[in-house]
Amino acid sequence: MKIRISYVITLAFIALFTYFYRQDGAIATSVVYTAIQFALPLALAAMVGVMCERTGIVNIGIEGTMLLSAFTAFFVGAILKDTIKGLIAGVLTGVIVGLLLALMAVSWKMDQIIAGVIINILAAGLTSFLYRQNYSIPSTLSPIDLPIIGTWPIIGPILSFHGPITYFGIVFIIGLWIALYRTPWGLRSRAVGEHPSSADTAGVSVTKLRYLNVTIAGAIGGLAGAYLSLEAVGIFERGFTAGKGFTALAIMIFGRWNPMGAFAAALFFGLAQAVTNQLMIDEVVKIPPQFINMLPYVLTIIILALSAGKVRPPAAEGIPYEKEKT
Amino acid sequence: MAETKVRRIDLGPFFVPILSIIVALAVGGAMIAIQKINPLLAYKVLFTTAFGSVDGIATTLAKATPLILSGLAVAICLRAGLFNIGAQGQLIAGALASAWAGYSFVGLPRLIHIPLALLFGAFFGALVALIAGALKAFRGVHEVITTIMLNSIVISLAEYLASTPFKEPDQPLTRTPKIEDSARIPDLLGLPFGFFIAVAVSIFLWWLMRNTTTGFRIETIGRNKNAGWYAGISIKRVIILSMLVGGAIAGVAGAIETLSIVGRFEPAFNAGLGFDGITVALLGRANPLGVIPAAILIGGMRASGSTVQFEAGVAPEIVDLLLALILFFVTAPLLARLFKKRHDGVSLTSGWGN
Amino acid sequence: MTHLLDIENVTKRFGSVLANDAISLSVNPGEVVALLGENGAGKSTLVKTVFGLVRPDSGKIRIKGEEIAYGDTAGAIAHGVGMVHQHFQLVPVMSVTENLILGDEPTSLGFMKMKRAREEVVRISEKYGLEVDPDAIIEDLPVGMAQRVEILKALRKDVSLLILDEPTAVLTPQETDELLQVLRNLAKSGV
Repeated sequence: MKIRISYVITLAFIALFTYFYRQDGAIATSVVYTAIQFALPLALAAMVGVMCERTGIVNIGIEGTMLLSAFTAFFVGAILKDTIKGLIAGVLTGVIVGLLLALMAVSWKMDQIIAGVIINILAAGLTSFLYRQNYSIPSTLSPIDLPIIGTWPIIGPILSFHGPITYFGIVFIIGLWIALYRTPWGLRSRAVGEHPSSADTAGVSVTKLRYLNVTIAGAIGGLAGAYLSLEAVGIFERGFTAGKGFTALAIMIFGRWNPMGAFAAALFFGLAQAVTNQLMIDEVVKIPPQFINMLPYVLTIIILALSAGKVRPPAAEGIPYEKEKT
Repeated sequence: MAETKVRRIDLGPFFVPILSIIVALAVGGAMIAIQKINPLLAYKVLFTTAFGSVDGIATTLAKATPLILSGLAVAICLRAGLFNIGAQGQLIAGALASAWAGYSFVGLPRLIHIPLALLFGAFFGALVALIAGALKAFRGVHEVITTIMLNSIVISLAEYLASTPFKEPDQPLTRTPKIEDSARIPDLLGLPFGFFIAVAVSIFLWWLMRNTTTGFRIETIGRNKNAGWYAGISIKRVIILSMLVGGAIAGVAGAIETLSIVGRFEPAFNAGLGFDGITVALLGRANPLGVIPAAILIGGMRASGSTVQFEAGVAPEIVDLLLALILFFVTAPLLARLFKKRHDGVSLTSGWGN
Repeated sequence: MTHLLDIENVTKRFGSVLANDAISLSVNPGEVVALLGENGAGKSTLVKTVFGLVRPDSGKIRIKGEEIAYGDTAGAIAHGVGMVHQHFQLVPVMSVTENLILGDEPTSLGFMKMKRAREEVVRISEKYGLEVDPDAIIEDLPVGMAQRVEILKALRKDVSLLILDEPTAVLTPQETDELLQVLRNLAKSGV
C-alpha cells in the first residue's frame, strides 16, 4: 500500500488534536478555529496565484492587490457607512488590478515580475498617500452560525461562527479545484499554462483565457484583501498586508499549484501561527515578540527551501505568448 | 531587391525615462489638484528645496548616497537576471553591523576604524544576500520571495538585537549606543563624504561590468542562462557572486548612513530606502552610471518631502505616489512603444524553477 | 471543377526576407501533394498560411472555392483544414486523451466526460489505423507515437485537407514508411 505523506500528516494532526482536546477542549478547538481565520486570506491569495500561474502568468502583485483592496474596502465602507458596499468596492478593486496585470503581461508582454513589483509599489504609494486617520466602519461582517453543523460537538466550534467571506472562500476553493480538473475551462487553462501553442492550434484563444483568469483571480485577491480589513478585524493601517501576498506564493508552490494542496498548506500555516499565538498567551515559552513576528517569514523560506526545485511549475509560465513563433 | 528600412526615431537612452517622469508628474499633479492644492506650487517647493540652495543640495546628496548604493545593489543583480528586492534587509543588516563595530571598538585611529566598520557592514549585508543567493543557486527558489521574506526577518531580528543584547544602557529607547568619534565619516567640502564613496563604487561597477571577465559572465548569464552554461560559465557561481556583491553594496549603504548621519542604529531609521533602490535601478536602466542621476532625483524628492507638506500642504507621501507613478511609466512599454524605441529590456528570470 | 485548395499569388515577407513570392498552387481531393525545397525555402511559411497561423502580405486562399480569412486558426479548422506541425502541438504533461479533446471537449452539464472522451479516442484511432494508448502521457511517448497523436488531433475534426509540416524530419526510416502508408490510406478515404 502506498503511504502518502498527506495521509500521514492528517493522521498526525488528528492524533495531536485529540491529545490536546483531552487536556483542554475549549482551547484546542479555539486554536483550530483561529487557524482557519489566519489561513483563509492566505488560502484565497494562494488561489489567485494558482489561477494566474496555471494559465501561465506569474503574479507577484498579489500583495499589492490585497493591500489596495483592503484599503478601498475599508474606506468605502467607512465613508458610505455600509460594510457590504465596502466589500463590493474591495472586490472591484481586485478586478481592476487584475485587468492591469493582464494588460501589462499579456498585451504589453512586459516582464511579469517587474509588472508585479510595479503593482506592489503603486499600491503602497497610493494607499500611503490617500490614507486618512480616524475612519471606522460601522461593523465587521458578522459571523454566521452554521445551522446544523454548528451544533455538532468539536466540529461545531471549529467550523461555525466564521464570517461570510470565509464560507464563500472555502466553497470557491473546492469549486476551483473541481473546475480546474474536470471542466473544459480547466483543461484549456492548464494547457495554456503548459504549452500555449497547443491550445492555440486547437482553437483556444490564449489571450482571452489569460485575461479572463487573471481578472477573476484579481477579484479573489480583492476578496482576500476585503477579508483582512472587513472580516478579520475592522481596521486598516499602512502596510496592512504585511507580506501575506508573498507567503501566499510560497503556499501555492508548496501546494504544487493545486487548489486543495494550497489550501492544506495554508491551513498548516494558519495552524502554526495559531499555536504560536496560544503558546504566547499561555506563556508556556518565553519568546521575544520579534521572533514571533518573524515566524511566518521564516516558515515561508523553509517551506520554499524544502519544496522548490523538486516541484515543476506550469511549463510556460512567465513567457509572453507570441503567435508567429510556432 | 530593395530593403525597406523601418524608420526609428532614436532619441537617445534618456528620452523614455525623462518622458516618464514628466507624465508621472502630470498624473501626480492631477491627484494633488483633486485635493485643491496647486500642483505647480507643490512641484516648485519640491524642486527649490532639493536643489535651490547649497544646504539643500547637500541634503539631497546625503539622501542620494544610500540610494545610489542600494540602486547599485539591485542593478548588479538585475544584470545577472536576478531581482534583488532584499536591498532593504541587506542595508539594515549592514547598518546594524557597522553600528556595532562603531561602538564596540574603542581607541582605534579613524583611518582604521571607518574602513573596519564599513567592512562589517558589507560583510553582513552580503551574508543576508547569500541566503537568498544560495537558495536560488542550489534549490532553485525564486529570489523575489526569499529576499522579501528576508527583509522582514532582518527587520525583526535587528529590532530584537537593538532592544536587548545591543541596547544602549540606561535609557528606554530601542537603539544601540552611539558610535565612537573615530568611526564617524566626516564631510568633505561641506558635502557628505559618503556621496563620493557611492560614486566611486558606481564607477568601479561600471568598469567591472564593461572590462572584466566577471562582468562579462554576469551579463551573459543575465541575458541567456543556457548560452552562458554552454560557454562554460557556472550559473551557480554567477548567481551567488552577484547576490554577494549586491548584498555587500547594500550593506555598505546602510553602513554609510549609520556612520555619517545617524551615528547609531535605530530601527525604522530608513523605512523604504530599499524599495527606492528598485526604483533607482529601473530608472537608471540597471546601468551602474545611470543610477547616479536617478538617485539624485529621488534623493531630492525625499529630501523635500516634509517641506512640501509644510509649505504647500501636500502630504509627504506624495513622494511615494510620484515615485510609484514614475516607475510605472518607465517600465511599462507604453511610452517606449509610441516611439518604436528598441526596449532596453532587462529580462528577469520568471517562473519558480531553475 | 472546384479545387479543394487554391493558393493564389500568396506573398509573405519577414522583415527583409522574402519567404513566399507570389505562389500559386492547387490541390484536388484525394491527392497527396508534397512540397520539396531546401531549408529556408519557405515551405513551412506557406503551409502555415493555409492553416491560419501566418498572415500573408498579399494573395488569396480558397478552400473549396470559398475564400478564407487570414490569421485565424479557428476559421481554418471550421473549413476542414487540419495541420500536423513540425514541432508537435501537444501538451507534454497531459495524456493522449486530454490532448485530443482539447478545444472540443465532450461535456455533460459543464463537466468533462472523460470516459466518453476515451471511447472517442479509441474509435478514431481504429478508424484511421493509428493505434495509441489513450492514457499515456505525451512526454513518455516515443516520437513516432507522439506524431500519431498529433495526426489524430488534426483528423479528429472533419477534415478534408490535411497539412503535414516536415513530418519525416523526426522519424526513423521505418516510421517514415508507416507514415507514408497511413497517408495513402487517408487519401484513398477522400482526405
